[in-house]
Amino acid sequence: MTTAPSRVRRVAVTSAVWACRVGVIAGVAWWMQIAPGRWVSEFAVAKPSSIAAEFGRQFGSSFFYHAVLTTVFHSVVALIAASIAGILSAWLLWSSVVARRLISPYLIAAYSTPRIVFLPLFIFWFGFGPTTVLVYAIIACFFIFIFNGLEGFDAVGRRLVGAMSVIGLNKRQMLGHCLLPAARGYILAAALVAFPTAVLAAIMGEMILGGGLGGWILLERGKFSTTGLYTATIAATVVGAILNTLAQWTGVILRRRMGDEAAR
Amino acid sequence: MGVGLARASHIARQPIWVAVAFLGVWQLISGLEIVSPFWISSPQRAANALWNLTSDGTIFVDLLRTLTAAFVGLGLGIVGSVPIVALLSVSRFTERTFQPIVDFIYSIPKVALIPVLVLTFGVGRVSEIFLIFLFVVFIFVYNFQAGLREVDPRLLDAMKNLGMSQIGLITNVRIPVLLSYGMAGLRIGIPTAITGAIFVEYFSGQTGIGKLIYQSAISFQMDYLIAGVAALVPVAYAFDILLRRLDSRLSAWRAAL
Repeated sequence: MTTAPSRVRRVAVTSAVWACRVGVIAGVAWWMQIAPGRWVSEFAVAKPSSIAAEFGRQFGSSFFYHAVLTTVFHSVVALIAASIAGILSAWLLWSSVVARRLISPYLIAAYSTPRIVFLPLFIFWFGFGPTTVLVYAIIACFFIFIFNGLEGFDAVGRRLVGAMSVIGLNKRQMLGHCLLPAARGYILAAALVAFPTAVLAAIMGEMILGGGLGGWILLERGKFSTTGLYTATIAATVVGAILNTLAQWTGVILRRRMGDEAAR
Repeated sequence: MGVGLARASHIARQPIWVAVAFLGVWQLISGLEIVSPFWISSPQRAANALWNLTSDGTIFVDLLRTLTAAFVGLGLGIVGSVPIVALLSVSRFTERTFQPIVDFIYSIPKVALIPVLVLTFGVGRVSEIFLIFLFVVFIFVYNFQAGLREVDPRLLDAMKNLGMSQIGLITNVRIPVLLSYGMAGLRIGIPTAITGAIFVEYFSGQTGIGKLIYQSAISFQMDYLIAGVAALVPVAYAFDILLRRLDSRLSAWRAAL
């Protein structure tokens, strides 16, 4: 039971913390409002009042919603495609010791290479368009699923796998009834890491190829509009943060369900 | 006889044969024009392009430029993370106040800032290095914070009671833990810094391996594009292996302490 003085102290500390946070944010906003044209170039910093006005204008247009939906579409489709491709590849490698030994060094080499170097290759093959953005976002997430999938399948005891073979499960049934359920924790962990990666990869791809929130940034850059750039950047940040939060919540719910099932 | 067969089987199972088979099939597909060399080039053409870039030194200059920018940004990121971690760790109050602000800045897709940085600092190294700094600084902030949290306060108290000085505590307890977390930060930070450097080169058309690869793509020179990628892959792989080895040595050192 908390005593009255300790409660007062807690409220006072929380108020001070919030006052400091608001003070920092208000200080930055005030500086951004008065600095352009006075202390820094108008091209470098946009005024918060102009950004707010631009946001108001964009919220009323279909362009904003189209850009957000395009980025969400690219991210979600890339995540689904990468999870399917990554888990199937992990299963194939897990099933064949020889294949795994032969291919592993190349997988690690590809994984350690920044995926961004492959983007021009995809531009060459698929052109400037959404297909390239999707392929790039898929490749960005693929390795997370393949490595986590392999780790998850490895965690399933060989004895259990042997027992499943003895009762007559073929490889496909083994995947569906034994490996995937046992490795779902690893796959969920992969999905939680892969989703922010997919969003970032989609925005990066769009910044080069157009479309979505990245394309909006590209458009504003072409217009040399500092206010537009700040607005698009803030929109990309907020949308990215909302998507990540939704993904984390989904992860928490799924983990809780898995825990309940395991307890049953 | 049995030994000979086992040896032959062992040699046949070496990963190098996958690369040999891949290059052979690629050369065949390209040579027979099953797929036009315009789209996939060929190992021979890519090797020629790599040779041209190597013999005139272009590839080394470009690699050096990209890696220099990446490592300067990385170094600044490591140094810059120290005052942020100090601010967040100095008291519970500063942590509660500034942690959400740091988390928010971390969640900004930093690539979106490139145009703003170019407008602020102009097209050049400053904007490139500043972006790489922003890419990596929070990786080290979070890793160092985790390292500081990992040290059990009871262990520190016990060490103090046994008469260990503050310097002894720092060198024997805090630094080994922080080094380990710093190494984990480097394993994420180096590829991230290289990614940042290459992306800025794509976006702003500066010199470097990113520009070489991107320009090759948009001028439809597949052989030079593959040569650029082929030059970068072993470098990235070498860094990965180096960091893994350093990490395992560091773990052994920590265990010995």
